[in-house]
Amino acid sequence: MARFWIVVGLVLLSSLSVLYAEEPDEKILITRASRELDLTSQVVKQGVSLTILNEGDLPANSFLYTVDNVMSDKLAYIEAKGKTKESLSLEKTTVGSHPGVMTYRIDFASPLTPKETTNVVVNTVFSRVIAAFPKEITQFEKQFVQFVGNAYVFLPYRSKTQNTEIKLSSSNIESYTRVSPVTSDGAKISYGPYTDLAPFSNARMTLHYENNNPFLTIKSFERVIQVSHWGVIQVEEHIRVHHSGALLKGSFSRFDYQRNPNSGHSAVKSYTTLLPAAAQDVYYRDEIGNISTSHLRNSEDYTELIIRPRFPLFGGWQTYYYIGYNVPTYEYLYHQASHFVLDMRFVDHVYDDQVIDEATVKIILPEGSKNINFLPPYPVHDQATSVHSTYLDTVGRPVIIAKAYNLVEQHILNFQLEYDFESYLLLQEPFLLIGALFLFFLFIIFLVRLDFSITKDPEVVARQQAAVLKENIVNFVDSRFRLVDQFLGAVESFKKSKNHRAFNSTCSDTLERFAAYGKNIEAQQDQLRKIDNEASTKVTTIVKKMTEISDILSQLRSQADAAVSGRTSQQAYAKEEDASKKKLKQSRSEVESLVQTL
Amino acid sequence: MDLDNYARYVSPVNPAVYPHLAVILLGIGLFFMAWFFVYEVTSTKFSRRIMKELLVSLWAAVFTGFGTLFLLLWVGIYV
Repeated sequence: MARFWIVVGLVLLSSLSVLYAEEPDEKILITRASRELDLTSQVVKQGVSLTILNEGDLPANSFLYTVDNVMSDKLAYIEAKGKTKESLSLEKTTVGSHPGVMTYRIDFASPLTPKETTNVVVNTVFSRVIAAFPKEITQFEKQFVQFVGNAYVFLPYRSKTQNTEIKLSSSNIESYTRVSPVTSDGAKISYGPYTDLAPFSNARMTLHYENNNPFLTIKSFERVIQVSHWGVIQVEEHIRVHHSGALLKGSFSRFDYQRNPNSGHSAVKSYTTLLPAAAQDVYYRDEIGNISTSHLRNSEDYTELIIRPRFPLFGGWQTYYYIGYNVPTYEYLYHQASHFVLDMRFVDHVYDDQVIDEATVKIILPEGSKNINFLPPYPVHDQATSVHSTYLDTVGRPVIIAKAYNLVEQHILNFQLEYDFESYLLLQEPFLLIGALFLFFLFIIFLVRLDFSITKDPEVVARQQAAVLKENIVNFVDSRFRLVDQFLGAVESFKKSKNHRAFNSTCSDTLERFAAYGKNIEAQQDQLRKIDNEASTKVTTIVKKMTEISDILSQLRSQADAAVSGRTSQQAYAKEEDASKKKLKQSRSEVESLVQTL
Repeated sequence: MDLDNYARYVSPVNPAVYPHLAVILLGIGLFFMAWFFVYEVTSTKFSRRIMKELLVSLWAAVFTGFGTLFLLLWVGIYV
């Protein structure tokens, strides 16, 4: 019973696919199809320019474009452009009568009205269609390659005239299939014009010619983009390059490679990678370390990195390396308050006419990024997220991983990555550092409080205690002298201003504080007496002298008061003041010398 | 996506001054750190004051912390 339902399901499914399959509109006629095939490099670049006529009575919204069966599984890139170079939307579909043919439905920019014609250009790029033939060559042989294709433009419609122009890398052509009319001129071959061809016309065409251009395939390409909100985006590309041309037969002779000009035609010695113009701190390394054979040239629009691997790449050889550079954030990172958009290339240029088998792009966002939304330029496979932990991270940084396969130069397009990031999270890193340091200091503070001594020496303890008390006394004495200076200043200004009230308040305030310090000194002395009697006696003398100073200050106050009020003459006052100040000076120097001996 | 309404993002601190900031902040931080350690080894059980220790070590931590951050940024570790 179960089997029955499976069969029913399959039947339903197949009928559905038939329902979705399309048939080419017989009323569409291709009046002219001209094709350009560029076979100069390792990739096949095909441009088909079609003039389409609608012979029907109803407007046509779209038409179908078919890809040659020989090459369809190698299709890397396809785009369609209308009359005014605008890109047209493409969608994969199937043709009911030719289910195995890769077909795209291309929508016209505006419906094609009856009896009207329009022009559409379809550009396609195929990778690994051109194969080395022979498959193995020695170091001294030139590389010959074979291309198998269709002499006609493969179309699901009737076509009135067709022609194909083929550009080859060299005029050294071993053979080419003759589907007359065909002409060859140097490195160019023209097929056609052919007239009145039926839909799906096919004529196998084989070209065998010399092609020593680099046949390099990037087996794996890993691009790591790390965004730092401190102003820099770091890019690193891990690249495994494989020479996919004719394999090297026999041994490799370094001597011949360097001396014999007929050696290593198809070997790749160096190539140029184009980096963004703002790239800084560029490096080129592999597992061993820095590779010194590279050059960097700055130009207005890009930075040229001329890469020369450690050894020339012969057929079948491969090398692995990584390059990295920094770019400032203002080149690629945009924001609206805390909403950010990273607008960068998904893959970048490695060498001209590159082929990337597998590209992995990893984007590492700052820690704390939220609401991440990745918008790739073309559909990607295996999109995933992960966490990356590096310096000063706590929970790790979010990583977006996207993979894409079979990419060519035309795939160098920008992706966009939206995310939210609060700028205060930037301070997390310095606070982590500060916290760690402060914890360390707290540990030290705790450590010095531990007592590791084996024996207790009461004398040492007493000395330490006495030192603290003495220091306190010295500080209080210093504070008192500062008050004395303030007091003398107040007297001077009083003589000028003659402001009794201000002078009185300043004086009583100063003397009050002076007395307070005296109490402090006595408190310290009480403790000191128990430990160090000798010092205590000295302090007693100091206290006595300080009382004298206090008396002198009171004297100075009353003298100044009397002089300003006019109770004493200026001359008498000058004498009195002089005498008091002299006494003050003497007492002060005595105290200072006593303090020194403490 | 239209990026016309978005502003280009620049770092809150100009990357050109990272070396200066690193040197100055680390210099101040090391001064406080030295002060702290000298204080720790010279003070006795009786003369030690916890507030002074905490304050000096806090300033040492703040300046050395920021200084280390800018040092990392200067040498190319974009944290």
